[in-house]
Amino acid sequence: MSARLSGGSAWVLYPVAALTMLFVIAPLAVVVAMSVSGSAFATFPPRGFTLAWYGRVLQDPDFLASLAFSATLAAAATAGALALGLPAAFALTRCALPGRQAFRMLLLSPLIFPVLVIGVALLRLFSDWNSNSAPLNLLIAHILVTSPYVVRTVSASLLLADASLEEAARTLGAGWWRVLRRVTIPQIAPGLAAGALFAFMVSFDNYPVSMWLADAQNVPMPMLIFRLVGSIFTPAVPAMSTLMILIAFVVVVVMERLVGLRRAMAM
Amino acid sequence: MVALLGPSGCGKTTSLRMIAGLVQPTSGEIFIDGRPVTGIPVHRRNIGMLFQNYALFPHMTVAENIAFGLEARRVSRAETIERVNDVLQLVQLGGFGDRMPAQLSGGQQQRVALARCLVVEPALLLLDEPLGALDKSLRESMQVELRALQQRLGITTIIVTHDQDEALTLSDRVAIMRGGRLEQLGTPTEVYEMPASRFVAGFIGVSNFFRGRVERRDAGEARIVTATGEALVVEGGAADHDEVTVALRPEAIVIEPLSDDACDAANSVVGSVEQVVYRGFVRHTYLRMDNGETLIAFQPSRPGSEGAAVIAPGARARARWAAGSNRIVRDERAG
Repeated sequence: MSARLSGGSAWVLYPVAALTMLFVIAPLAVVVAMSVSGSAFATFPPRGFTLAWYGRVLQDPDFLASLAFSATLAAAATAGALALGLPAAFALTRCALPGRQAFRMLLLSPLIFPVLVIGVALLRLFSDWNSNSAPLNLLIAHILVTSPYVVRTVSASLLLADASLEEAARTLGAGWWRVLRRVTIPQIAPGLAAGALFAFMVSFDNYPVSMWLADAQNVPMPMLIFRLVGSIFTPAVPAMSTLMILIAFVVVVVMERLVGLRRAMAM
Repeated sequence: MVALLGPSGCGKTTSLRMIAGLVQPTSGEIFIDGRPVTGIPVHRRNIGMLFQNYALFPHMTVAENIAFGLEARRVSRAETIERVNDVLQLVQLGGFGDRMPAQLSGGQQQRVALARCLVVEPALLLLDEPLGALDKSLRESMQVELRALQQRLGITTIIVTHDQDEALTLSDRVAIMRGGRLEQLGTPTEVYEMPASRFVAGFIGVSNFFRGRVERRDAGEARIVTATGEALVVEGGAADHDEVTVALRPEAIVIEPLSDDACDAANSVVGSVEQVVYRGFVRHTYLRMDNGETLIAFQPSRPGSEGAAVIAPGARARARWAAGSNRIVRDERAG
């Protein structure tokens, strides 16, 4: 992002961009501010300053169990989304499938379909199947809603990747697995990372699907937070939320350092 | 070294990719060294292919790029290092092993790509427009280098090109393709001096064409008369058909001032000079013949003697040529 605007357009674009960022960031700042409030109830502006709520939250077994469950679920859903999305993206970009467009739309449809409806439909489906394991049901549901992100980012990377590199690798004597591992994956690494990141975050803070499929023992973070807001709204809730923001932030920074997400996001 | 030469879209790259195994032929068999390879996947064919854009792996160093084929063949680490260094010396890039491809110039990238093909000691080297991305002077020096290297290593090589100079310079045999078909296969001399078809005669170099009827056949020569009355004598085989097309190279034609003698001879036409283009060592003369068509003649320009021999545009002149220069060609345009 080294390009600088100058002249008349800069006078319009910079303030608009600044306002947009303020619009996105301000609510989050409110949550962070509430989490350090010294009062017993979450208020804004905060009264006093304390980090005590963080200490209390980090010792709360409900919170820790929920965080561990959400993180595990998100990681597993990401792995599943990659396992399904990667071959699907390959098929969509590298093979001359009949009805490829229709196929693409079908694969991406969870993105545009109301998520709440997907949740309800899955609840019906799982009860018909007598599938009573909440973690398993949640995993399947989360893979369903996260895989389109992988398909999209990986397809875009594959379209930009130079197919002649793969051909060159094949003529040099490499079988398909070696070509994939040594040539294709390094080429599409930014897209893969972006897809994985989207998948993880979408799963990590998914509420509308989890709402239908969670049970009392397996409560993902967003549901726990929502439940607490409805009962006792102490600054512990914004503290949990702030921790979630922090996790997301760390994941993004690490990814950027590892593979240069900006390249993949720019597409 | 065989060159596949033809206009774009004639199927030469597709043919090369079929030999490599990147495209499956819809029918027919491909043999390498007498072995059928049609069913063998790309990575077991032991070929080296040089791509037009070089296709160097951008995330690997030069040495890693070159070692890739050896790695796939499970060559030991020590031997790999040795062979990579040897081939880098061969393409005069010793010491460049640690660079990334993006840090190299076009010519250097091309050498790395070539080294990557050569290091695996392929049974067959396939070059897809290898010099197309280089500028003219670099291209010419790479042509000479490529030819010398190929002869030293003795690897059977197929090169795809749309550049006839490149094909004639580099190869022992030239295959001229058109519309997915082979028009002619021969040495550079054969395809230039004895084109089999009107297409070949027009594609390689420049040719003048006459269409006419065979009027008389004698031992060793045939007399052909065109619709507008020009008479041509062709040496050698009389054609099977009555209607024939004759190709004539411009450099075989002598342009001279009009004189009275030999006015009715065969292989000679009269017209007015339309344009004379000076091209350094050669002078292109466009002669508008009395039948309305234009004849092009190349004449060597001898420095120091200009003026006297040059016929100015607008003047009447005679073009004549030897019977041996006429060549009957297959004409796909004729019905």
